[in-house]
Parts: sequence; C-alpha cells; structure tokens
Amino acid sequence: MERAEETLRRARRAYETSRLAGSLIAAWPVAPLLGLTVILHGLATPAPLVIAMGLAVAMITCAWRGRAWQRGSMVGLAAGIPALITPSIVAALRGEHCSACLASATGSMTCALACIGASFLAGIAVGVVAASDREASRFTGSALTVAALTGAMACGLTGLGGAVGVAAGLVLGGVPTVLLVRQSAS
Amino acid sequence: MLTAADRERIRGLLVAAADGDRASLEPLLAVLWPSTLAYCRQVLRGDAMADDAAQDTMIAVFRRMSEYDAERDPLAWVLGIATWQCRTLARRRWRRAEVPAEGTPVAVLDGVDEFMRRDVIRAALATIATLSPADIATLTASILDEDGRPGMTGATFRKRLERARQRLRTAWRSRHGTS
Repeated sequence: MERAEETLRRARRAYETSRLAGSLIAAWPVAPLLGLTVILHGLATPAPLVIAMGLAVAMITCAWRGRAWQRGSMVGLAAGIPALITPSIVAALRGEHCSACLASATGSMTCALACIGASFLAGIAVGVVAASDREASRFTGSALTVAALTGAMACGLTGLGGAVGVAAGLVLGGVPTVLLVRQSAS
Repeated sequence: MLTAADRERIRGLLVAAADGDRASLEPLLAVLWPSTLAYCRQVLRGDAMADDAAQDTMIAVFRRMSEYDAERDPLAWVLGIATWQCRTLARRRWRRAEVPAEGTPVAVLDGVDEFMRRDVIRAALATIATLSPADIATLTASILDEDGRPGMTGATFRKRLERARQRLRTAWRSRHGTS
C-alpha cells in the first residue's frame, strides 16, 4: 500500500516534470510574432516585449495543462494574428506608417475600430471552433486569453486602451457565438 | 490476465493522460501496477528488486507518456519499458556485486551476458512453444544425433527443418519485432 502510494507520488512528479519540459517548445511562435510586431509597428515602448513574455507564459501554461487549454491556445494564437496585422494594413491604406496612428484623432480612431473589428471577427471564429470542443469554456478562456495577448502586442503600442479593445472584441465576438452554436445544436 | 477490454481501457487512459488528463493517472497506475509487478517478478525470478523495477517502470511510463502511440498495444509498450528497467537494475546489481574492494571491475560483463542470455533463451522457448508439435519435434530432432530423427530420408527431413525454422523466424518476428 505504502509502495503504491510512493509510486504514484513519484510517477506524478515525473509526469508533471516531463509535461513542463515538453511544453516549453509551445512558446516558439512568440519569437517570430514579436519580430513581426517590431517590423510592422516598430518598438517605441517596451510594451510589446512585456506582452510577448506574458504570451509565452500563457502558451507554456496552456501546453502544460493540456486538453482544452492546449487546443484553445493554438486556435487563440491564430485568432490573434488579424488584430496584430490589421492596424498596419489600415495605416498602409491611408498611406501612413502604423506608428503615425496617434498623430491624428481620425487615424487613431480608424486604427482602433479596425483593430476591434478584426478582433470581433476573430472572436466569432474562436466561438465557432470552441462550440464543438468537449470543454468549450476552458477552450474559449484559453483561446481568448492567447488571442488577446497576441493582438495586444500591436494594439498595446497605443496603450492599455488598444489591448482592452482587442480583448473586448474577442469576448464580444467569441462568448455569444459559443452560446449561440451550443443552443442551436441542443 | 488482462482481457481485450482491459487493454482498451489502458489505451484510453494512456491517451487521456498524454493529453493532460490528470484524473486518469491514478486509475492508470491501479490497472498497470499488478501486471507490471507480476511481469518484473517473472523476469527477475522473484528477486527482491522486482518491486524496484516495477516502480521504475511506472515512473518511466508516466514520464514518457507523450511518446505513446495509440496504434500500439498499450501493454506491450509498458512491458517493453519494464523489460528495459529489469535489465538496467540487473546490470546495476551485477556491477555492484562484481566490483571488488580495490575498485577494479572484474567479469562485470559476464554477469550481464548471463542474465541476457537467460532472457533470450526464455523468449526463444516461449516462441518455440507456439509452433505445432510436428515443428517442435523436427527442431528438437535437428539438435539431437542422427538416431533421434524420425524415420525419413535426409532430404525430407531437411525440407521439414527448413519450413520449421521459417515458421520459428516468423513467430519470433511477430512476438519481438526482430529476426
């Protein structure tokens, strides 16, 4: 009996250590995404670096936890990319560089709206995928967190407002979609 | 003796654990522990270190959970790890036992070889036991002298022996994956 308990305790520790070591690799996409952020938006403030670190921690944690957390983080990473690149596209359409969005009220408003709109659409996509997952709430939570951090690397440049906009867009698009798809399925 | 349903249950638990389901760890250990312990005791012939080998096996299984291929027989995977752990422990014991006080290792490899030789012989006998009585008789006769062979011409006996050996090779490959 004592032997079995000791075995379980040691086996659990080996399992967790192995999972943690294996999950470190899950953070690799953060490096190219940070590079993309710097290329598209410049590095005027240390905010993207801090957010990238947070994103890496979130990715590792989700991979270590596994199951819906891990599945959601992968989808969330993809869902956050539109919010990451949309401001640059909008700025390019206006014939400006992204970093000039704060120069005028119109520019920053257009950028913020595009960012929130892209996040909203990404949130809907997350919701559709999450609704088919066995653990929809965990999947959604993980996907929205990772997507918000990914998008915030760009929008965070304009301050907390941009990051909040990304998060709000994702929550407003994602959560109702999960509920709607689940309701129509049952 | 584990049934096909037990194996499926183990497969499900292994897959769930590899996906990060902590709730499957305890049931997995509960279902694997008796078989692993019995196997280690059999391999190590009831030696006291069989319990250590079984424990090391469980730890290795839990550590290598992500490597498990759901297409493979789960018990074969676990017992493969158990075999390795038994050999490692036996090797370690031989090293400890054979190193004299001066610290010069003497005949260390002989002990390991002896252990592995016995292991291979046991596996070979178990494989031979799966053949038909006629094949077993032919193989046995081939290692006895001329008088021990059943009454038949040399050419017929050689042909039968060749077929029996071929079936033995096939049986060995299906059980152990190597020739």
